[in-house]
Amino acid sequence: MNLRQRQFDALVHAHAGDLYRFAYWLCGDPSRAEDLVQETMLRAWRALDSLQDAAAAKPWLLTILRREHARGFERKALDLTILDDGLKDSIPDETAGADPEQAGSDAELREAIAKLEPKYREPLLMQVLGGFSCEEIAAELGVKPGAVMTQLFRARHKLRKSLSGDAVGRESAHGVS
Amino acid sequence: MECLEFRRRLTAEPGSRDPEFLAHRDGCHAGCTESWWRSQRFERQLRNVLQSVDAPEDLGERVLLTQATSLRGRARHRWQIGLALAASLLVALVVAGYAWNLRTTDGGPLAGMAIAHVRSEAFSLTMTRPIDAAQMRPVFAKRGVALRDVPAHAVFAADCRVGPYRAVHLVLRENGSPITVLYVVGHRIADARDFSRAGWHGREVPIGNGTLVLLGNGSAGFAAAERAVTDAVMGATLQTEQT
Repeated sequence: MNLRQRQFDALVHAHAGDLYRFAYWLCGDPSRAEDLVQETMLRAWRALDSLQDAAAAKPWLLTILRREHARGFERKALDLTILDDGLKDSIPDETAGADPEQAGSDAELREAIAKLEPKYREPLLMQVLGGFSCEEIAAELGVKPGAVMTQLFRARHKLRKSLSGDAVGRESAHGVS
Repeated sequence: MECLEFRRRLTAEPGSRDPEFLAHRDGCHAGCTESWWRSQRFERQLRNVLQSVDAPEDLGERVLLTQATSLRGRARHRWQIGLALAASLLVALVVAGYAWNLRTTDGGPLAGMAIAHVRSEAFSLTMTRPIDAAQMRPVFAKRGVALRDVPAHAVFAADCRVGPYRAVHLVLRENGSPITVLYVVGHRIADARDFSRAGWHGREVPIGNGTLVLLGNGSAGFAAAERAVTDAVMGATLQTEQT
């Protein structure tokens, strides 16, 4: 096995799971998410020589995936409402066996994430799952950092509001909106 | 940094390491420190929820399988292109070889014209009585050739046209078989070559400023006939051409 193939294997094993989660929350469809990972990895293989820094691998892959998703999104001109409904329907139930209060809260949060409009959900995913800074998100989305800050603020604000009895949500809404 | 700005920043970028942001967190007595802690708890929950989606167990293996299949497919495609190119080259070589073979075994256009002419004057092949120098020299002279010698065993001589070319038409009988020799004046081929065509055996030989075309049922006797006519013509002086 040559070095290039070994590098690719390592990349796949290290990041396929993260890519899948990112793709899943982006598109809300497990099958499409897997396709996105496959397409992303094939593109990554072709462009592997441009990856010089192992630390940059994850954001590099997530960027490829996000663009791949955007291309598919433009091609299919998906109805955002349908997309969101699809995401809600396919949310996995990870609450079995968990603390009932925490489980209920997580379920509410999952549903709230699914309800987020893509313009809020995408930068949030890039920040939380991808580790991108506001400046990096702005550069990737082609908007100003201030606009990204606003989108992230509103995304979290909506999520907190959705959590019933959440003090932080009330506080945030009260103090900063 | 004021509380309002701190909390806006906290909601948008809760993991910020900005010194001013952190200084406000540690120094504010209006509840910002507590807000920061609540925010961190929320972030942990958010991260946990987002990461609670399990990827298919064999996703990595499937990705590698797709990649390997794609690589092999492309390698196969390249191999097929190479094979197609090799096949095309082979076909081109075969066609070129066949054409070359045709050219060398079929003779050129002159051979075809010579055979057509001999067929049109087939009676010449039946001639058996030798002709002498007095009958032959004027025929060559008409084509501007003064013979140095007279070819032996000649039974027919005439000035003819072979296609567009002026020629002297001779028939020699070597060992009883007629050999036609056409001396085409003013049209010299590049190289000597033997050919077989339409039941005829032939040979084309450049000589002087013209070409000898020998035709017979076989090639036996060609060497003697070629030598006899060449000896007779070579050294001959090209004179004013008469038509």
